[in-house]
Amino acid sequence: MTELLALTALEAHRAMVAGELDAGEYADAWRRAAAGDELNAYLWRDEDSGPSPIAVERPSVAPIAVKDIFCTEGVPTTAGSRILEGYRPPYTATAVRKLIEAGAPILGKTNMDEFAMGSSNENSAYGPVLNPWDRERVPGGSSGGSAAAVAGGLAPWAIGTDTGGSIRQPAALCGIVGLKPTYGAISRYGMIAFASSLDQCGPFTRDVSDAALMLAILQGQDPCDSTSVGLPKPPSLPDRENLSGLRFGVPEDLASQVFDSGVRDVFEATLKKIESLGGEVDTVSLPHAEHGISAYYVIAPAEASSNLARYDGVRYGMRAPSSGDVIEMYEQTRAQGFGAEVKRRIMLGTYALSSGYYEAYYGQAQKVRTKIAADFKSAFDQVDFVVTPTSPSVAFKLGEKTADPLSMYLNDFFTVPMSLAGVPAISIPAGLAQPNDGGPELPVGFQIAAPAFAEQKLLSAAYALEQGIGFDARPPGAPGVSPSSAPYTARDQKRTGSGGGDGG
Amino acid sequence: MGTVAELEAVIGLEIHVQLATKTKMFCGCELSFGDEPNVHTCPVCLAHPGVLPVVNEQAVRFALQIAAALECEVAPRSIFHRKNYFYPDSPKAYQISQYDIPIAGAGRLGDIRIHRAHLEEDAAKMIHVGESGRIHGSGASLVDFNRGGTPLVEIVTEPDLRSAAEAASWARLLRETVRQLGVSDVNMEEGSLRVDGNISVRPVGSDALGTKTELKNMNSFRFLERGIEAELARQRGLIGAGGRVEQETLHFHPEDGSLHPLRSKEEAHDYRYFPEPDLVAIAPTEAMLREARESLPELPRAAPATGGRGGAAGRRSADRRVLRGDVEAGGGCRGAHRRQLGHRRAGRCAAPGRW
Repeated sequence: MTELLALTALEAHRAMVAGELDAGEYADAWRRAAAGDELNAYLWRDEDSGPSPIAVERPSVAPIAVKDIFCTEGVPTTAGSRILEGYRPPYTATAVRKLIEAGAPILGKTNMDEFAMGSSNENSAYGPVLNPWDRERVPGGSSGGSAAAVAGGLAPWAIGTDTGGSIRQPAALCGIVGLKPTYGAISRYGMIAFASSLDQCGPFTRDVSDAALMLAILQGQDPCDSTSVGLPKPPSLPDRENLSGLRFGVPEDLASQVFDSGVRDVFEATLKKIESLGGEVDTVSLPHAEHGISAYYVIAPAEASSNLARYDGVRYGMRAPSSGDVIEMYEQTRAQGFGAEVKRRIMLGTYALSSGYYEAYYGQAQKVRTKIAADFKSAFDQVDFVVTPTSPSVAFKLGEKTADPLSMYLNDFFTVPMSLAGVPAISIPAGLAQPNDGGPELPVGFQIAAPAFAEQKLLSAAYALEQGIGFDARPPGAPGVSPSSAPYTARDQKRTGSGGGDGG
Repeated sequence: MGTVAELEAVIGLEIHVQLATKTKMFCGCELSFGDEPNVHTCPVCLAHPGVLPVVNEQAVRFALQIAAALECEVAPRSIFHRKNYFYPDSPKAYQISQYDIPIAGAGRLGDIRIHRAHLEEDAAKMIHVGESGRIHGSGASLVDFNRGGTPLVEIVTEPDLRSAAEAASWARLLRETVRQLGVSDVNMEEGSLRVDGNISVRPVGSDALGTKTELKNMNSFRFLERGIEAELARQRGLIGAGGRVEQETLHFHPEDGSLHPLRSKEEAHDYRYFPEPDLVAIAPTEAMLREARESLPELPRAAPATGGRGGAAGRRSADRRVLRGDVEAGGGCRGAHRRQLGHRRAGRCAAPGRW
C-alpha cells in the first residue's frame, strides 16, 4: 500500500491507463489513508465508492481532496463556516465536475479558514489544521486542509483557491507545489465567493508535473462564468532540462520583508541554483508592490461584504432562533454564524464602500491595483519571471499570530501583488530552514510569477528548477518514496536548496 | 412665493418595463406570471453559495430595441453594478443593476427627453400576511422567487412633463411604443409596466427645480393621473400655506386616492454601489445595433404638435409572435444547469463582452 501511495498522480494515471494499476484498489488505498487523518485536514470524507451525485463511474485519474469552498451536489459544503453547517448544495462546481468527468474520485472535502479568510487555517469554525511537519505549527491558509492532506499523505493531490496567497502560502509551509493560475484560466462557478475579482482555483501537488496535469483538466472557458477565458492552449507536461536563456527578476528591497534568516538563505541558494542551471538573475522594480497589502485589504473585504450578504438565514444554512422581525433574524443569524475574522472583514468592506468613503478607499485601492498590474507588465518587458520567497517565514506556531491581525496579513506580502495583477504564480519547495524560534527544520517555498496566460512557460521553468533542486524531504510519517518516481528519487541532501551548484 | 395658481408642475417619470424574454436576466429559469410560487427557481436566482450571473443576450437585444425606439445614444461599453441592501425579496442581498454607465443614454420620445435607460433584474415578490399588508406588523411574510431575476429596463425621463394629464398621455405613448416593439407585455395591472413619478412645482417662469417627491404604486394610467393630480394639489397647498415640500417617497392608495409616506427608515439606504466583478462589460457590435434599428416596426406617433417619429419606410411591422419566436438566448448554462437542475429548457449562455 505504501508503494501505491508513493506514486505521483501522473505516474498513477499512466499506470491505470496502461492497465498496470487497478483504479479501484488505488482509490481504496487512498480512502484508507484519508481515514487516518490526524491533522483535522478533512471536514468530510468519502467513506465508500457507493452511489452519490459526485461518484465516478470509471476512475482513471488519482482521487482528489477538494477544499470545502467548492459546491458538491448532495455533499456537505461549509466554506469552514458555522453559517453553512449542514448545507448540501443542489449543484456541483465546474472545477469539481471537470475532475469527476476526467475520472478523478473525490476523496473528501478539506478544512479551510472560514470563507477563505486567513493565512493559518486557525479561522476555521471546525478547528485548526495541523502542519504534518510539526503538529504544533500551522499549515498556512486559507487552503490549509488541502495542503496538509497532500503533504501529510492523506491525498495524492488536492484543489484549493487563492485570493491573496491561499494556495501558494500553505503549499510553501507544507513543502509541496501550489499553483495560482491566471485570473480567468479556471471557472469560478460553484466556488464560494470571497473576493470575486481575485479568487482563483488551483492545484496542490507533490510535483510540478502533477500541477500541469491538473491544470490541463481544470482550465477552460465556462459558459457559467463570464469572467473565465481558459488558457490559449491546454498545457502539456513540462520537460525542460535547464534554464538557459531565461531571465529571473528579484524585486528590489525584497530582503527587508523576509522575517526568517533561514528563508533568506534558501532563497539566495535557489537563485544560485537558477544560475547554475543556465538562468540569469536580475533585479526588477515593482515600485507599487509594497502597497499591495493595503490595497488588497480594502478590495477583498469590500467584495466580501457584498458576497457574504446572502447568508441571511432565509433560504439555506443556519438560522438563529429569533422572536423579533426579519431584521433581528438577520442580525442574530449573522452574529452567531460568522467568526471574528469574517465579521472584521465585512465591517472593513462595508465601511470602504460607504457613501462618502468610496473614493478614498475602494476607488484609491483600485488605482493602486492598476499601478501594480502596470509594474508587473513593465517588469515582464525585462525578465521572463519575477521570483520571491513565497512566505516571509516558515510555518509558525498555532496561536502565535491570532491576536495580531496585521502580522497575520503580512504573511501575504509576497503573494498578494500577483493576485492583484491577475498573473500566474507557482510555489515550489526549495529547501528546509530552521525557524527563528528554533525547532526542527521546516520547508521553504520559492515563488515564480509569469505574465498572464504564460502558464506553460511558468510550469516548464518550475519543472527544470525543481529537478535541479531535487527537494525530497517529507514530513515524518508521510508515505514512502517510490524508487522510480523521478522528482522523489532519494538524494542524500536534507537541505537541498542550501548548496551552490551541487545536485544539479 | 406666488399664489397657488402660478405654480407650474414639473414631472419626470421612471418606468420599469419587464422584458418578455423566455428566461430570466442572469439564469436559465423561465419567466412566468401566475404560476404556483417558487417553481421557476434555480441555484442562481435563489443565490446559493458559489453561483455566478450570466447576462441574458436576448435582454440586451431587447434593451437595444428600446434604445433605438427612444433614439437613445448607446454606450459602447456599459457595465453592471451591485446595489447592496438587505431585504428578503433580494436573495443575494444586492440587485445587479446598471449605475453610472447605462446601456442607453440621452434620447427622446415625442417632445419628452429621455435621460437614460438601463438593464437590471426584478426583485422577488413578497406577500405580507396580516392586516397591514407591509412587512412591519405582519404576522409572517412569504417570498415567491418566480419573479426574482426577471429582466427589466428602467427608462428615466427628464422632468419635461407639465401636467398630470400630459404625464398619463405620454406614458400611454411609451407603452404603445414598447408594445409595438414586442419586447414586453406592458401590462400595468400585472406589473410588467410600472410607472413612478418624480413630482415638484415651481413658480411659472422659473428655471430652478423645486424639491421633488417620488410617487409609487399607480398601477393604471387612470391612477397615474389621479395620483399625480393629488400630489400636485398637496404640494401647491403646502406652499400656498407657507410650508415647504419635504423630499420623500409617497405611496398612492387607489381606493381613496390618498397619499401615504413610506417610512423614512425604509428609504434611508446607503446602497454601497460598486462594479459587479462577476460580469464583463456589454459591448454591442455594429451588427447588433443595426439589427435593433432595422427591427423597429411602424411605431405610434406622438401628437402632431410634438413632432413624433419620422417615416417608417423599410421597417418591418411588429409581429410579436415572430419577434418572440426569435428569442433564443437566456442566462444560465446549457449543459451543467440543465443536467444538474433538471431544467426542461435552458438558455444559451451569453458572453456579451466577447460579441
